[in-house]
Amino acid sequence: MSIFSSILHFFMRPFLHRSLKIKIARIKKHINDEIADDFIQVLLGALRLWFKLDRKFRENINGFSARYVFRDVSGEVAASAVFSNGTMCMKTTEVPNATVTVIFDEGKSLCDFLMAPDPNIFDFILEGKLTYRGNLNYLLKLAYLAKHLRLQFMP
Amino acid sequence: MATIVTKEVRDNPALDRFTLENLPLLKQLRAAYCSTRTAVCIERAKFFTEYLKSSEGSGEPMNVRRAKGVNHYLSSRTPIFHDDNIIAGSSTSRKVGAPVYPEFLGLSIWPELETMSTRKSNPQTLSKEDAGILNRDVFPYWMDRTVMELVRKESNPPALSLMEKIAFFMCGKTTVISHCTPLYEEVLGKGLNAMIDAWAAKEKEVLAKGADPEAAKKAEFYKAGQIGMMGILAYARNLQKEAIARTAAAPDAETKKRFADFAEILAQVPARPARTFREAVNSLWLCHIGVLAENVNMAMNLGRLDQVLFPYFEADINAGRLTVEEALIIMGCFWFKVSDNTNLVPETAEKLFGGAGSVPAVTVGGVDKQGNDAVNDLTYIVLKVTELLNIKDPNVNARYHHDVNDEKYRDRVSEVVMRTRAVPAFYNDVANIATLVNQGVSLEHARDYAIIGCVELASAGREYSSTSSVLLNLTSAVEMALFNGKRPSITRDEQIGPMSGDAAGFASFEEFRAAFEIQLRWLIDQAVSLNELLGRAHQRFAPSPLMSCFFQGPFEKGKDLIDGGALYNSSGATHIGFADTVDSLCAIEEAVFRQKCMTMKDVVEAVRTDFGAPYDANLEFLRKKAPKYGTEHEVAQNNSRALIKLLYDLYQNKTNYRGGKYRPAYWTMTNHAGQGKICGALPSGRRARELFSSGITPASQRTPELLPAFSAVAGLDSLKIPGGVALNMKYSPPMLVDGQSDQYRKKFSDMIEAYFRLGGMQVQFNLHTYETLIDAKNHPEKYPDLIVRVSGYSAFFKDLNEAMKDELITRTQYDLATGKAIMLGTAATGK
Repeated sequence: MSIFSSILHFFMRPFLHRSLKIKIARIKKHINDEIADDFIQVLLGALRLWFKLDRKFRENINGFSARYVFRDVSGEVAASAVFSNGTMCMKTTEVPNATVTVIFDEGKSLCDFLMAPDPNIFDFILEGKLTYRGNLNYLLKLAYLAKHLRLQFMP
Repeated sequence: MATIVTKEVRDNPALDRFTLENLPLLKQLRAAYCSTRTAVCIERAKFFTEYLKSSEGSGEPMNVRRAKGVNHYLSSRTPIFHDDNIIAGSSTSRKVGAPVYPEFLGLSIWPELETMSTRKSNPQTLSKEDAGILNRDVFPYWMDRTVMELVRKESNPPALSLMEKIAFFMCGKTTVISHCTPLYEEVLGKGLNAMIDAWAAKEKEVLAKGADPEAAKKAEFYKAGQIGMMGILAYARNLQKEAIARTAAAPDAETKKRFADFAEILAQVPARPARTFREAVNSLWLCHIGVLAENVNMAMNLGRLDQVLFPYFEADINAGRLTVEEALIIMGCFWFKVSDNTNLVPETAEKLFGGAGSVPAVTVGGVDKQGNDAVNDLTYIVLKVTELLNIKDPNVNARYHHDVNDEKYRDRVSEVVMRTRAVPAFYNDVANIATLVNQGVSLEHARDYAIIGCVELASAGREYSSTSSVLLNLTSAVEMALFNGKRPSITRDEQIGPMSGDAAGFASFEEFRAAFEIQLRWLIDQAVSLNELLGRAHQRFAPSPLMSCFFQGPFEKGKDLIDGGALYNSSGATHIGFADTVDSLCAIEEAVFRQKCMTMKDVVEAVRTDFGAPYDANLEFLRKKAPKYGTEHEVAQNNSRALIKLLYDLYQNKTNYRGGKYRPAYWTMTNHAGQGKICGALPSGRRARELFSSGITPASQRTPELLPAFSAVAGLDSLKIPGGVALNMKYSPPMLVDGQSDQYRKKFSDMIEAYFRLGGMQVQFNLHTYETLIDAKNHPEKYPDLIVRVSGYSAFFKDLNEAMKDELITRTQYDLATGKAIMLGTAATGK
């Protein structure tokens, strides 16, 4: 990190913290609500902020390269996430060459899966709520990150 | 005639004078075992990954890399003496450990790293530090290297997507290389030093013959085998050092002697030949630890212990070095060693496999390689240990040859089942040996068969039979035949299989049967094709040179087990929902085409709507009046026998990547409950989400009499079931009082004798009432160590998932005295 970006990061920290707090509040709301259409954008946004703020959490993506696509059963892309060189960026369009594509029937299903205390992917697949194409291990890692976030902020 | 060398066993095979009260060490170990919670052990994952990472890009062949990885783990792991057990060595770093094998499905616990210690069902303790190591150092390396993902990356076969829909079939190779029985006879007799020398000589010999690629490959294999065996020696040396250190630091004479004994034993075995019974048991255990260091601890079996260990027992007895009591203590201690590991259970597996252990099988009794009575003192000692300890592992199996073994032995096995209410399982030598011979196994080798995991048959240490290659849900084919290749209960409107015709328009049972066959053939093709890809992935990425050292064939051929090195090769394909499928075929034949009381359209709609109105009217007939497998009804007998033949023909036509045949089997672990909970209705009148029947067992609450049930199963052609069966029978328990107990035992034994003489292959029991099991479900605290037979293995009832508990409760309970079923409703309501 250059000196300039370190200084910028220092001054931005309060703002980033506030943004993260807002996003966590929205995730909490999604967990309790019946509808969670923009859940994945909020979750990825929260993860991105937390990676910026917490060096220890950022270690999870050091050297990690992956492309995630999240879309609903109709094919509409909800979000994409690209991990590369210890950073994460988020898009609202489909990124090519996805490592794993997660397909869900509605945002709430994705929320229930990633935020469940005991996520059981079998149940979600069998109930037609969630499926995936590509490398399952990347989905498991994302589930770990999401759960870590939940445990940290919503014990 | 049985070989009994001790007066004590000859006079009283039940060894009645021994109880846990007068064997305090076993009592103490049992209490500790029962109160110990399973903990995740990351040692193997950590050290194995560490080596694989460091050797990435080294250009070393994969078998050598894996052998070095295993060696690194065995050399680096902490030598621990957890308790007062007199056998040295532990398979994990925990008292009861669940090891992580990241190259298979170890990564499936990733989302749960921080919560699996506290989850509601089947928690497994994992420290924060260990979770951090897995998350940071282990799992990332394997993300693109697990066997399943390597197959996906290379070919992304449609069959893999089908498997991931869960309800069609599963291929065990994604999770394990195991389900086989190593033979430790050679290492006990010669010691590892001599074996390593022999492998080194072979390496030299092939290299001397020429430098062609084939010779180089063989040399690498011999080298890898040596590296693996050296890993076991390194572990034994470290244990010995620890024993010496503990001897020096011992606070009292007793402790000093205990560790001095360990040091002396470890100085001898497994490097050199075992000189005593205790050394033989310890040598075997240390080699088995080595095998588990290389491959997953699932159905890695111990073979015919009463045969392999008998020479050492006999020599000690003759020399006056050993008493029956000491032998009991040694075997009892060994039981706890074998039980020191269990499988890693992610939340996702709880539903399908909850409560399953690592199922290491022990086989006793039967005949020897020459066809003589193989029963000996150790057979009775193993039975006594099984009875006294009554723990879930190892999975004890008793072979019985009705023309060779004597009734005293048969009755003693029956007595142990009566006392434990569950174990051991009975195997019919006559049928099973003929079945293996029919598969091309020599008579001598077939007679030396041992049980793999649940119930599978294989010549011990000679066959690599990979018996969990395919677990196929047979009811998928029924539903797909009804819906022209779709499976609405699972995948809605998606076209899954071939279009086999509009079932509503079928004009004969033969038309439906043909459609069923089309779907079944297609599903088997999918499962087998995926198994082949996974097997080839194992060959490239997961060779097993160390395990190969304990089989006959690899040394002679210069070939790894997974390359076809074993003397005999096969792949097992087991089936879920056999009874439910037969009953569905019977229901359609009887209701639609014989009695014509409903149409095919009615059946299709009834299944589609889960017998919703107006099709609920059909339920009574289909469920209760249609012919059922497990009765003497001609339609049921014809359909069950035809299905066995069909599956045999379909599988035996296929040759696996190691040059062996596929062998159909009928055991289900807990999958019949788990799969039942997720599958739709069936023409048999089984409602959606009701549990399937286990193994080859007739459907619960459908067979009113015991004899016809036995007779129906025995009537299936055992030559066409080379993979083995699990028949689960539930009897009202015996009254363990004089007189009544003897009567019960006689009936119990007579029934087994009759079933085996009719051709039955295997049977296992639960001697519990509905009421007991219902109470155990409602009040688990009252039944902390209630052992039950699931479908081929034993488990603590409290550890099973809800579905499996329900399945055990609903299994038909027979009254042995009358031979009649006591139906659940009657028992539960008391009416």
